[in-house]
Amino acid sequence: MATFTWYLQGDSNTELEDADKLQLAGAAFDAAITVSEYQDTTHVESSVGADDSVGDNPKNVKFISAAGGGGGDSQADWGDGTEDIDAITEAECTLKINFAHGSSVITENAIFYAYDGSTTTEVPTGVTFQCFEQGDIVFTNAEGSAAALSLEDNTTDTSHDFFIGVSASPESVGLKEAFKLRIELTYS
Amino acid sequence: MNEVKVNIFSNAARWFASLSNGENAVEGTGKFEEIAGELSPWQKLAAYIKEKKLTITGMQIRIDGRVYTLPSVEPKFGGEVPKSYKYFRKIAGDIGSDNPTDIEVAELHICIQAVYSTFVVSLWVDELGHKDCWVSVDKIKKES
Repeated sequence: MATFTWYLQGDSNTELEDADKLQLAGAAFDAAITVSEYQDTTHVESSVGADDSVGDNPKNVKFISAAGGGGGDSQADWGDGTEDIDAITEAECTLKINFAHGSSVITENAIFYAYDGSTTTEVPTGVTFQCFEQGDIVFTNAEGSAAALSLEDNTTDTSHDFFIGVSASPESVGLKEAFKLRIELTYS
Repeated sequence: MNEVKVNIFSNAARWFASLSNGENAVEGTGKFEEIAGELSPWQKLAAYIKEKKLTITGMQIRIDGRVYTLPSVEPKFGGEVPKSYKYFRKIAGDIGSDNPTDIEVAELHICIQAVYSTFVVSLWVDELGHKDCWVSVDKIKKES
């Protein structure tokens, strides 16, 4: 049995359960993000619109620049001001995605990207999406499967964790719901 | 040779590998049983092949009474002989803001591959949907 479990990290991690949404917002839950700017907070929104991560002090990783850091590194703000993204720790990343399998498997060819929610090759509608895996030095504009972020291979184990920072910016006014995140990998 | 005592046409997809010593290895059975916390059946097969200095001579996927077969080292209908074989499963999980689906598994395919000198033939079977099968052929990328 193979499963993915997604967590929004925080003081306590909030599990994203069936029908939950990852909400990238302005200054607070349900607050709008200014067009062409990136989110200031990240939340887990339940199927009935409640803030499931309200007590967990969830992490937020805000895109600052693609190449403005030392040596051309990307920059982000995850609560301590602007820093090069290679300084972020696993615990400071937005998402922890766990892949679990009953027996011990290797994972390979793992990728992560955003798409329009219908066709994996299509970019999300009206959203600029940026992400990186902990240890990367630059953001990946991972919109559609062809532009996916490549994740590290894992050696044999029953549990595999991927730590990812995500940031998004609306390209126009209005709620952006044609926007889904996907992880893919092979295991054996 | 150990007798295979399980129904190899059960609902779950299984890989089936013929070995150079005449044995047949079946995912989830005998030496290649799936046991929580132990190596996966494929990793057990890899260790067994290395220990016994064997090779895989043919591979199939068996599911719901159907058998999908890659060319063997003695191809039934002729053609080129594979150099080696591989197996993996491809899985995908989604989380999003619209029409949320089961975030545990959105896609699951079992794949076996026949590897030739310059290309790979992959045989894919959908394990979540209608058990449909696809074949793809890809050039092997040269490492720089």
